[in-house]
Amino acid sequence: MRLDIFLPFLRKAHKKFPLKEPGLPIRVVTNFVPRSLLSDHEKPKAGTLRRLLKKIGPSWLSSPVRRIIQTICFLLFLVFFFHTCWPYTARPVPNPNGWPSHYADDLLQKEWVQAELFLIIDPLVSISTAIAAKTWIWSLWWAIWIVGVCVFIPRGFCGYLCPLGTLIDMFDWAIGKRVDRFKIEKDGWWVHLKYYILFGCLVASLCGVLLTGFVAAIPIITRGMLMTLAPLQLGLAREWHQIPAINAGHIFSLVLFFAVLGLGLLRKRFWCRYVCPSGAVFSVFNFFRASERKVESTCINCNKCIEICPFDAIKADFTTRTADCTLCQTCGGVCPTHAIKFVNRGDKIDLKIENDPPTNETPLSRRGFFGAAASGSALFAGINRLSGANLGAVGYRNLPVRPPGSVPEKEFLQLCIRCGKCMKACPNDVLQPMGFKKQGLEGLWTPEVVANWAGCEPSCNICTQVCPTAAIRPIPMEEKRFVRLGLAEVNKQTCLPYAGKEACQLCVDECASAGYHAIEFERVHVEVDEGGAPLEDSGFVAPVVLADKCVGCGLCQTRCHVINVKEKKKLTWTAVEIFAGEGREDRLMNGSYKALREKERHQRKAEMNKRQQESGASGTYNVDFLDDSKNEETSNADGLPDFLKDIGGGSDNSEALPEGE
Amino acid sequence: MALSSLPGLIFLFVVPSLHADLLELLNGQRLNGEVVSESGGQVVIRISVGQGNVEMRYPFTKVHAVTVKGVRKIVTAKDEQPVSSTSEKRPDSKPTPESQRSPPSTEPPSPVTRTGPSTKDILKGIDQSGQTQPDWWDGVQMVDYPKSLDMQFPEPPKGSPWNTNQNIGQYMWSVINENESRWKGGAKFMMHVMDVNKSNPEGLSKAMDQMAHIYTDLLEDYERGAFWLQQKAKKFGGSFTTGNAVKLANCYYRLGSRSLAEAVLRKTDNRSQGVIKLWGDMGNLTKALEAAARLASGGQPHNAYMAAGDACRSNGEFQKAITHYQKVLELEVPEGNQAKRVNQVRDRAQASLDAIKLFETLDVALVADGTYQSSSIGYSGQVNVQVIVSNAKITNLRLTQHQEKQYYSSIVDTTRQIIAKNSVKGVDATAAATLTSEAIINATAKALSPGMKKQ
Repeated sequence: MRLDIFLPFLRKAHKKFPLKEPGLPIRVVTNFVPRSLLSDHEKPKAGTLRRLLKKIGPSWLSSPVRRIIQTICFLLFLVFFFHTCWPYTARPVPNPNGWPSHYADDLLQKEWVQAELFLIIDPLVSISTAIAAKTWIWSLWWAIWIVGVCVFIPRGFCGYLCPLGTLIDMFDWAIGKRVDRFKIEKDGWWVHLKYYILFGCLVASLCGVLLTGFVAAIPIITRGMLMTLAPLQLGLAREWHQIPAINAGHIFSLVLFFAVLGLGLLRKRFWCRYVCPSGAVFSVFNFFRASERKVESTCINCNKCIEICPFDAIKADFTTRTADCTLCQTCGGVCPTHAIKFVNRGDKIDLKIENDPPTNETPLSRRGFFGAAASGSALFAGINRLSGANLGAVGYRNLPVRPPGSVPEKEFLQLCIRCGKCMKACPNDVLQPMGFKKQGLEGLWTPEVVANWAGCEPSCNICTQVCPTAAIRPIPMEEKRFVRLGLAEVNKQTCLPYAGKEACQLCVDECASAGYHAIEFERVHVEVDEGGAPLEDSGFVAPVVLADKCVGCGLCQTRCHVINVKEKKKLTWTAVEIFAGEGREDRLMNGSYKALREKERHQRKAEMNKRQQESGASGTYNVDFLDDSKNEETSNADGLPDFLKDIGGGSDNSEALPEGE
Repeated sequence: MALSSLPGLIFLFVVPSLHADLLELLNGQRLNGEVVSESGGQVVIRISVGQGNVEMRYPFTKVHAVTVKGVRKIVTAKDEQPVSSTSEKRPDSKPTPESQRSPPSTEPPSPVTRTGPSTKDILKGIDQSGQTQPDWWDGVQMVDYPKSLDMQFPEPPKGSPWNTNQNIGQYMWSVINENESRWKGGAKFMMHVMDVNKSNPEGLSKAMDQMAHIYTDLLEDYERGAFWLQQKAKKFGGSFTTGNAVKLANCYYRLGSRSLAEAVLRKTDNRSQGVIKLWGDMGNLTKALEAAARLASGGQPHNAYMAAGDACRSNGEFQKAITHYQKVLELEVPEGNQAKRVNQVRDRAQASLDAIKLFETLDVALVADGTYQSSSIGYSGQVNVQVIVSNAKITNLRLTQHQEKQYYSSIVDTTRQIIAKNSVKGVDATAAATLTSEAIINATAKALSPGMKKQ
């Protein structure tokens, strides 16, 4: 069975090396392509299609199918990132009784394929997070699927699908090939670096520290886009002031992203060939490959295939480094003698003699693996000691507020791959990548609610829908409104009404219009007259947060910050702030948030009933003790009941008139 | 005036002018909208909510009257109303935001129809309703009042500090009154307090005042409000205050009896802001101004002119209202501890003046051609607008500077609406983006106001 999809069907015939009978895919395709576009094998004359591809470039000419799939995948990645995950166009729908869901609906409408598709088919993302958190995560199904596919197209992910690979291809074409001064010729220890990195990552994962986010392919490009083009998109589509401030974490991420691209200055696709641990996963599974590249004895040692191979997957004897070959078939297209074929693994027909000329392969180093394991554990230890999240030892005011539906903090740090998808998808940039300050290296780039910047939209659950590893649980809208991110706390020292400075109800109005009604009023600084009666309109109404209703969306904080701190400069820090921590937030691995609220409500009701019983009150509408004379007994000329004859004589505290006059 | 309180005002002025038709339900609820149909035993009314419309259906048995294109028609007379029905707050009323309290509602005084219920029926209805529990009673939880409250409801000692955890009256004032969500639970709490104080006249009398206040001023259930006020008069007639009387008159008026209301009002000495307001609400501006004059000469001129201005304004007499508000500002501010309160009144007068100029008398047709600029506070800070008027039309309106993020949609929406309507009136705030919308409307009104040609 031949799996050739490279050029032969477009090629001219050669006098000495006649074309092989094409495989099934080619036969099918040629039936659909007009004759005029194809080469004339009799004459021999190049067809229109071939001449066209020749103009685009050698790799397009030799294996156009691969380039087309790469282009499609890269465009899809961009669409998922720059279209599906913001901007959103849905408008609030009038719905006086229900809970608004326009943001969530907008995503549903646009998400014909999961927006996080490329993240979940990066197998290292699922595997390492599952190992770190010692739990099954849903995207493992996708990892199994893609690894299964890559048994038939070994490392096909890297050659065809990976958007980072395509981006690196573009970098190498645009910049890499023009800069020669950094190029390296000889192979070294680093040719197997990807295995060591993979091994180190898995060791760290086993210890419970997730390092994969720094080096896995799709998180790198997703985060790279988040830090580079996403702000550009925001600025161009909306306004530049909507771009949040950057921190040291951003810079570090940018450096890493450009370093990955910059490796292309050393060799073509240096990252993919030698460093990428996601690619290493496929290389490892290549042991089970069902098909591979083979070279027949008609090989004339012309070296063309070695020169064009983007993955350095051809040995000096022109046979295949099976762990590296992505079945891109570019080599097949340039072979002048049609000696290269892509066939099932067991195919032994007419093969070239191996190790001629000698290959001098670099062996996998045991030292490399030891080194990787050691550095993985060292990083684990180092991060835990020096730069870790230090869970449980910080005051609640310093805890990060996480997205709605986040799993408990320890598991969150183990599951969050730091890809940045949730932050891109967040409609108002409530979620921003954490820097080094709060949790050091361990919390770097994890999403944090920055409520000074914006509050969590009641109608939105998008971050929960796009998380590839379920660090943020995929919660439906019916649950979202009940999830507590934190609890708002009013600072009575600074809050304008409490401090007696002026009337302000920004937070209360905001909370009410969001539909939570979790901040109530209390009138403070009330003045009384001589009789002790309160003076109408004296004092201020001040905010009181109801802990049973507040979900910690942070809308109140946003409003206080942008108006009282930034605009009016009446405060130096927001007077209402959301805080996470035990009892303030819901961090569940499973179960319903709605049910949790319901349970709490029942408990409160039972407590109140108990109290009422103890106080001896009936709680019923009881008017037995009242005067039951009827209104009908009227003798007055103006129709007033008798008992109203003498009203108007009492003194009135609240509207007292001065004596005399 | 603090401009930040303007957005609240807008709601009042914009919404009522939107639709001509009015639906009055038997429970006292009033809905403005467009009546789509009145057949099949039900009325369908289209109400605008944010940007869109919602159609609501009401069976004839729940509808008191329908006003279509200015013609009012009684569907079900009030005396056929089931006794247990209760008043509900109007759906558009927000939980008493500060900024909405000072100016009077511009909602026209409830029309008292010639075919209204008889005095006897009203008094009978009050008795019946008062004796039975409201239909929400069993579904509402009593407020979770502080355990430390003194349930005997004594008068707090003079000079003692304000303590909402000890004094029932102060707790009701600071916590219950301010939160709509606690009003019904507060009524249940008062029932409990009465229960405890059956044989304590002082506590009982005060609890009745509170009960009447909750039903009349907060829940707008005027039958029960009147019931408790009458009980107060029966049991403690001697301590029936002018405030009580105004409340009772208001109840009678709202229930449809102007004559009873006037009879009660005549029994007061008229020297109260409440009296002025009620005369104004009843559409009797002459009486209102008489009462104001009496209060002014009685030593409270600031309050008197303020209330008179409000009465004029709610009756659509804007020029008269402006005159009265200006009188408040012209008066001297007294020395001493009264200064603070008088200054509050002055602030309110200024706010009302501004609001009238900005929204009630502003007419783009009378604005001179030119380019106008102003600003207001939006969701995330200052919003600057530039308006270009030519030939009595707003030809261009754009935001020259703003910080809005969250509620971006309204920026396009609201400006388009203002240009299309050629007015700041009747512009719907973009749903879920009201603050930004209102800031744009405000800033536009403020920009155009100085450009009004003198008539």
